[in-house]
Amino acid sequence: MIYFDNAATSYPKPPEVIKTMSRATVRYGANPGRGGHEMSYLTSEAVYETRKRVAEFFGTDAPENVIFTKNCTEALNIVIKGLCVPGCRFICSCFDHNAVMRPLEALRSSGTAGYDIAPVGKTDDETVANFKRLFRSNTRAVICTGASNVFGERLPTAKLAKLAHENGALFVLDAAQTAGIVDIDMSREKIDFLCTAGHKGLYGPMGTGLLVINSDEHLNSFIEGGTGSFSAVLSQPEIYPDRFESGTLNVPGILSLGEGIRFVSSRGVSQIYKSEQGHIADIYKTLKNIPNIRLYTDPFSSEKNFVPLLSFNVDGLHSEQTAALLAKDNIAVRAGLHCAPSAHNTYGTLREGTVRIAPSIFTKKQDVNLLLTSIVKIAKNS
Amino acid sequence: MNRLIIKVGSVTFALKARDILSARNIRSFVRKTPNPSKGEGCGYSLVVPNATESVIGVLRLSGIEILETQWEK
Repeated sequence: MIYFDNAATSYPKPPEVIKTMSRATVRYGANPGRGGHEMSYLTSEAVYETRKRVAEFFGTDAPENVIFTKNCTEALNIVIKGLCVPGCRFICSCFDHNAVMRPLEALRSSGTAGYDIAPVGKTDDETVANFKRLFRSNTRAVICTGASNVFGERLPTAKLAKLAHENGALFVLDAAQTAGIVDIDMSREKIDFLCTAGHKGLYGPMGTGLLVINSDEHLNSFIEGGTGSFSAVLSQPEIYPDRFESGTLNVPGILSLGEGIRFVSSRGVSQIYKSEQGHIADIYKTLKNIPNIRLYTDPFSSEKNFVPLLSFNVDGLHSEQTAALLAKDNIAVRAGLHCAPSAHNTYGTLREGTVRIAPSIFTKKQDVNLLLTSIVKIAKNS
Repeated sequence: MNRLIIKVGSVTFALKARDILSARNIRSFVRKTPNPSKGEGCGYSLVVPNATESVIGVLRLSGIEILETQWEK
């Protein structure tokens, strides 16, 4: 199989990630933060070392503020619902995934909070102006993706964080599509909360996600339970990470995610970006010369910045049809709406969706050539 | 020899406290609190075998919430 669905989940995983999954199950098989015996302690230590690595990777110095979740969606729910106070409002972008939109819509439909969707403009300044117009006195936070998961278009998140703070609001970054691809420094960029998946650009296993907190703002908990701390008290602990980590942790997943981050750090985020973007540039250059192919991502744009992915359609075919034809050639891509209907609405692709190509650091030139051969064949026969 | 037992809220803070002291060349180790108070329940402690009073101040200044300290001679 030739795999170009890395924006959903990266595949394959680095060998050290795979090895850690197995080793963790054998060597760190006891509950961290609970027992007093040696394996429990060693497991606690290994998990803590991973927190430190995550904190350093994202430019913070508080390992206790690294919360392990099962995915980015869970992290976003913790923040959005944790920050919500009755009558408050949120602002998100028109590129946001349903992981942001659905929690916001749930709060709106229950009458708890409201939200506004800021259109992404033709330039970063226009986008910032669009957000600025939506602030109200009760705006609690701006929640926004680092880049569209469909089209790869990046948002000016540092400028939006600054804007949020100038207006008395917090800034929440959905880094599902940017972590491991784009350098992120929460302290420098004044990001209050970062939510991301572990299984995409960080090369960890599925079932892992992160919430990194860089704010003193109080978050309500919406899952309560055993934490191994303050056990005689029935109210949920206030201290992090315990407040948001009730129940037994996914230790093999967490330690493997730590190895994934080590892998990304050793390769270098900018080198990973350069490698993947090189493939996207090659794909773009070939596809733009085919008359019945519509491209929605321009990696050579002087006005916009993109993460390394590319969306396209073949005229006369639904995106799912194109993806099915590619699958017959053993090529894996993602088609449809990518759980981001608002982004498709913005680009005018809500009806047919798009075909998304997303390489990884393991993508080879030969993979790109086979992909292009298959797409050219499909376009010719359509 | 002054052995200091520092009770903290969680294993994460115990390990963080250990790192803070280690950066100052002060040796310590983490253990499960053997005698948690009735109001707390489970918890972890940092044991500092050769401690001085300043250890407590260093940890508090670094944001470690200390629940209780106990000296053993």
